[in-house]
Amino acid sequence: MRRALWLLLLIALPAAAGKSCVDCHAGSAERSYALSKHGVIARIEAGRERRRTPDCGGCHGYEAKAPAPQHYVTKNSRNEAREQAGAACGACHSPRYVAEQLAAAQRGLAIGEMKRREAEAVVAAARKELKDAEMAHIESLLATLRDENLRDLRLGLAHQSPDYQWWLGQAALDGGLLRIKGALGEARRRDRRQ
Amino acid sequence: MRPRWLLIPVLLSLAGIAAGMAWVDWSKGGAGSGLYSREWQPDPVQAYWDPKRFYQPGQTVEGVYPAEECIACHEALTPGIVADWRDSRHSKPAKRAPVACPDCHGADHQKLRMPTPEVCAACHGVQHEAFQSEKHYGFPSHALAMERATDSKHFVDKPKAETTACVQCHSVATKCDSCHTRHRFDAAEARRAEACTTCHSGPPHPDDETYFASAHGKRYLADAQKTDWSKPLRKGNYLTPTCAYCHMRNGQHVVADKSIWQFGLRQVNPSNAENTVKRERWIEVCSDCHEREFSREKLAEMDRERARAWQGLNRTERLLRELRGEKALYPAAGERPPYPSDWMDRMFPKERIGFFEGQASSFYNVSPIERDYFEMWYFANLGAYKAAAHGAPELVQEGHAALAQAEKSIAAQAGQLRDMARVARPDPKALWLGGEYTEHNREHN
Repeated sequence: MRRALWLLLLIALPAAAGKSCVDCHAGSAERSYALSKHGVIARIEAGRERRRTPDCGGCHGYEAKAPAPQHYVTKNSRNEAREQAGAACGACHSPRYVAEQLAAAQRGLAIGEMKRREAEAVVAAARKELKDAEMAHIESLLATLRDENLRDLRLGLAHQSPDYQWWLGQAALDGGLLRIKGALGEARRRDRRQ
Repeated sequence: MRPRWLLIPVLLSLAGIAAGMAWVDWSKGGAGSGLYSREWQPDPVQAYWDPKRFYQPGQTVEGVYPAEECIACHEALTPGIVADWRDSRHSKPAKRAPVACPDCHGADHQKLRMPTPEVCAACHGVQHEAFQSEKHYGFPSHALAMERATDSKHFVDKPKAETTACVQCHSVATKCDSCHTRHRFDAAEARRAEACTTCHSGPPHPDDETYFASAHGKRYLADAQKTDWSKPLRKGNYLTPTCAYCHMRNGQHVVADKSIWQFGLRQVNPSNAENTVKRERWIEVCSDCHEREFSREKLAEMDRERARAWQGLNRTERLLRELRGEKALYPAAGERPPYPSDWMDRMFPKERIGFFEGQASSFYNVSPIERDYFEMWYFANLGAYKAAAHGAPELVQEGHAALAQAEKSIAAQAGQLRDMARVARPDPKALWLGGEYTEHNREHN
């Protein structure tokens, strides 16, 4: 099994060497990987014969020729993706290290999900109290929190980019949450005045 | 002869000092590390970022193995790291036997160690000593990165599953492979600009973007693949400077000897005696390629940029202090979660405004206007500073546009807060003290 995956890695790597992945997955997906130690080493050593670190295909099992959305071997489910990526890690890292890192990532993401649910509960309360015109700002804050900050946290954890985990992930989620609470608080004050 | 009662305060203060030292010692004896070690438990993964304090060897394999046997097994188990080691100088040093697995990890598989800087220092003593010497310069510095991180209130307070990214970067103090990645440990790798970007990136320290946007960085990007990075970081060896070329003069493992620390974080006089000495060291570095007067003028330009940034920051900080005085901040410090582990904060709630009040922790559990000021200071301002320091004028402009925009928006919010404070102040505690994450954070750190 390990050998098969390693082989897959070797086949997939040259295929993914082109710009094909980032043609579609530019932005956070690309940058969170590029800033990780895997990405840094890949950037520094581009062109060397032996690749030390996996690129997109190395973990995701990308088959270059298959059209989207079937091009992910690991697209079936998050758990399968995690297992497959974990197996790829084994070429360099111990099973214990991989298990600890993946478990830590899940705990980190669980915290991010808590922040999202807390924000959603505040927004749900706001929807009952406020008029549509007042809600627009709050809804856009929630959308940023959910679609950008939580995505960046997930990418940071999966790709091991501290910047994406912390500043663009957890610390940005903190900012989104407090701004949503602040917006509802101010709207309540305005209502009290009228 | 002096009266005897004078002895009493002297003895009391001696006892006080002894008690204080004993208390500090006691407070460092907990499950975590540092001054608040009794307040927190490390996340399991922290063992890999701070191995000296937290790593425990796995118990899966028994036996004591010589290098050849380690390699024979791991060639099959973890071929990547064995290939890395084979490519490294450790596997084929010029004048001695190879440095192999047991030399760094130990030979007893049940007692394997995760190498710490002290292990590397057995051979790389000069580098290790230089690195440790940074501690004289204070923080920020690489050498103090881990202890100062775990001593900060927001690190102690946050759930530890949330702070694993913090310790990943701050592990630069506790592991050598942040810059020389295992198992090749290549000096050439650490000479490259990209090597620093895993940590020196992102909103508060966009060192990567500002460097790559500068003339130095653009030239680096154009030439990097055809440059020989095995050469030492000395004058004449490189056509364009990288992070290490300037910040680690001649490859010396010290980044703190020239930089005016906290130059971006607070208003610092760049021309005092100490900083004048540091400036001369910078000009010495620049003089590898540039005329001294040219470098002096560039640095003066950065000082003018800093002065301009602080005009706006000081105005905004004054405004926030006024709002605090007028009790117009909403919610105020007592109406939102305190640091669970900080009894002073619970007993005497106070909004932290400004560098010296611990504003660096003020990015959560604060009112929106305080968070906006945090971002103005920590993101826009530091972005402008890094751009000025690395020579990226268009990003300086961008940073100052962001500063101006933040100042304007904060001033507008301040006006609304003042208006509202006069007419309505419903109790915001239910909104701010409850919620799934907020409650989790109160229970877990």
